Amino acid sequence: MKLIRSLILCNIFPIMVACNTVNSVVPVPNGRPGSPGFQQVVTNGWLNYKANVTDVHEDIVNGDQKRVQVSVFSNQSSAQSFSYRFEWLTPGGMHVDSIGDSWQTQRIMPQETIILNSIAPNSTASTWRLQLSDTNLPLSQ
Amino acid sequence: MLQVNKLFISLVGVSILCACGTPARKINSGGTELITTVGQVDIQDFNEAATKLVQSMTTSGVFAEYSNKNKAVLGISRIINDTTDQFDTDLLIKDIRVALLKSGKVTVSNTVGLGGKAEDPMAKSAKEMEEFKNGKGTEMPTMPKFTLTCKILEVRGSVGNTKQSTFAFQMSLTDTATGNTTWEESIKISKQGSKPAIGF
Repeated sequence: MKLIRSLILCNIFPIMVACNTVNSVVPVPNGRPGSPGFQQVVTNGWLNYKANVTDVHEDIVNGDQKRVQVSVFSNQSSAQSFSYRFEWLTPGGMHVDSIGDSWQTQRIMPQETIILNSIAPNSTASTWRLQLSDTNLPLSQ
Repeated sequence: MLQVNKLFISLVGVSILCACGTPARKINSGGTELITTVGQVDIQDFNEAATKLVQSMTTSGVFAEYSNKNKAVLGISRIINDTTDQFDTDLLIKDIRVALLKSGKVTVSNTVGLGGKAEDPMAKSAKEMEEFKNGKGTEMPTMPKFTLTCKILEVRGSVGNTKQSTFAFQMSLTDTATGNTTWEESIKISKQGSKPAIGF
């Protein structure tokens, strides 16, 4: 029993700082123009509590460039930070370099819903993928 | 219980010792491991500002009527760094130029610049030679349809050991036909802390 307890205590610290995997969100066609469905791939449950995607909207700007707005909600009781980036792809799945490829940081207040925006780099980039990463691990808040 | 505590404390101590001193390694310039400082504009700040400025410009629809076959010509005008941080403004402007060029609707003039100073003097000379050969040497040069100006400002504050800096990126797009502003945006990036940190 003592051995089990010591193993648990010794492993909690490294586990809590090592679990910083990326959550992803991709659109899923649902026949509703402007409001596509979306699929979340959650590999980091802690991150999903403070950066949970609740809604997705799309439209066209500048004549032919797709714009996406994603609503993100935090159910936490304190201010949180997370990083995100949008990747844009052609219909064939080829990645299109864009200025938004770099990770951006975002602050979110408790129980707040914020909007993350991205615009396709050009008219050939018609689909996107949102990646979310944690910047406040449990022990570093 | 005492043995468990000793084991736990020694493991924590080993972890802390291992964290002291980081060997040099390559990191992603657009990643999450960059150093965040309070007193200067970091590379991720330039990227964030450029991204938001381009998004605002694109959303405004100012280039909507242009296309790959009919691109808007943009000239880079006065770009002012009014902060205490001495950086090259190309760290912001070049990212914006690249993004606008990739949109397929905008091209940037490298032969017409502020005060007659071309970004690419060789291209300017070659263009003038070509125009002379074609008998267009005495014609008025084609000026850009739009010009871009920008001013970067800084506001500082502190309470005790905590310092705060806000960098404001104020950018305008002017239609040279009318001389009027056709798009404007102000992006503010605020940072706060008592010491620099790794990560956002």
